[in-house]
Amino acid sequence: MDKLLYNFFKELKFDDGEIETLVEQSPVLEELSVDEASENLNILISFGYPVDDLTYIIAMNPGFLCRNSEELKNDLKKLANEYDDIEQALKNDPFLI
Amino acid sequence: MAKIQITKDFLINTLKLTDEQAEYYYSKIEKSSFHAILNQSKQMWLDKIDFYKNEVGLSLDQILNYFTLLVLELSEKPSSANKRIEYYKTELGFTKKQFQKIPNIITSDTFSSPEENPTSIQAKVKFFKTELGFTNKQLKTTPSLLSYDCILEDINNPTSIRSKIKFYKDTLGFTNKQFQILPNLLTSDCSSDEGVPTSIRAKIKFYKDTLGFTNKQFQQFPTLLCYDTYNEKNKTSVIRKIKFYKEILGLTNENLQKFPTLLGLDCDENSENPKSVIKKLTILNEIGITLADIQNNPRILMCPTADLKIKYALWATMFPDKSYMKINGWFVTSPEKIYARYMYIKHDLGLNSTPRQLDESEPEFKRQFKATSNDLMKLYPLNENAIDQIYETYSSLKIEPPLQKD
Repeated sequence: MDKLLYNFFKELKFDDGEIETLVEQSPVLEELSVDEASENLNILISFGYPVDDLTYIIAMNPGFLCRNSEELKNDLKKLANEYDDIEQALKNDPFLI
Repeated sequence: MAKIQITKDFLINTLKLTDEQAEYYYSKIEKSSFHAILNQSKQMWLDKIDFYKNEVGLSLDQILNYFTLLVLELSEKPSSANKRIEYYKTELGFTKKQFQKIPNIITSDTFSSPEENPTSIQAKVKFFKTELGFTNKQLKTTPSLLSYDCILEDINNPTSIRSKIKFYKDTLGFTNKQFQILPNLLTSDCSSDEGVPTSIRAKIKFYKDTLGFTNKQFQQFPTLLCYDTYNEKNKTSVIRKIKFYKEILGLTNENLQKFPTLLGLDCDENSENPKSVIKKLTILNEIGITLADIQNNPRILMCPTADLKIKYALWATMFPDKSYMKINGWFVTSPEKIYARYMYIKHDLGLNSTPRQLDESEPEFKRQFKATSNDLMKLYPLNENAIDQIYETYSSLKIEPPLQKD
């Protein structure tokens, strides 16, 4: 795994065992760069998901980090039209993305 | 007729193979349609072996197993081994790791455009990128995808990528999203029927019959389809995990339907395993989170444990009646934010807050209380003093078991 991405997960308070579990659930994380992960995280934040609560959504659904950024953005646009409150929607169902 | 340069003696004396290894590889090469490589000079073999060892990290065994690698020239021609490897490295970001997973990918045509050769690597890369929205990260995770036939329109060829995509889309309602998250879905056996326990069809049937799963769970967590659903002796099998969740934790099919990712956790009963749910349970128990709390909201098992202790103590001191357990996920929001909001409502507005108000989304909180969490966190930081105060209050509440401060 990209050392910077590993450090980023550590900053988000994941321990080594939890990081290993994330990679087992989403093997693409093994090849993901921190820049690629940041791109998707920034898209999520730009739609109103709070920076302080990123740990939670990554723990529940790490797969969204591995998605094609353009497609993620389009899905979030659709969700923004569907839900008044995207933060609550994603906290209730992290698999919406 | 060209004279054979490479002999069994060369394999034994120069390459230091055992007699058995030399016999095995020599006869394999001799019987193949590439036996002409035995006519190459010894120096040429040594140069190529060195090249593959150094450039892509292959072992001698791998090189001899995939002996067609030795057919390729080392030169500046587009079809040479060097140029092919350069393509993978520069265009796809491959490292030694990818070549070691699938050494014979080097022998594929990397130099023809999709128009010149619809089965070339360039054509396959174009296919994955345009059809499935892949980037290099998916191809690096599963480089073997590039060895599959993805160009043929004939979806009746069950091993073709197109037929697999069609299967997942038709059977489970998958979109590009699931393939981007888990590209190795496309290397699985989608054509065998349910009687073959390792097949995707058998796995789908297992989850549907055993847990009442619908397409929704597979769409949410496609990794389910990678797990062993048939061999209970396998420590990581889903059968054992289901048994663990039901018998030890008292979870239900409904719990697992709601949180299918629980099946992605390690249920190894060895509490020393840092990934195991057992270890997590021990930590949760130390914090004071009961089995009933877990049954009420099992996704707590997927949350990092690092700040759970302060989250729990914070909520427990604010609402000793445990009313916060009724909100969707008291552990979902950062303790810094919850603390700042609570202090603001209490001290600045002189009001009592509810768990729901503290856990509101940012826009909703701002609408109700005319303040932003960022500003409040600066005003009421969850610093060392605040944390000490919270633990002190928590201890005075005499909630069992008592919290130990780190």
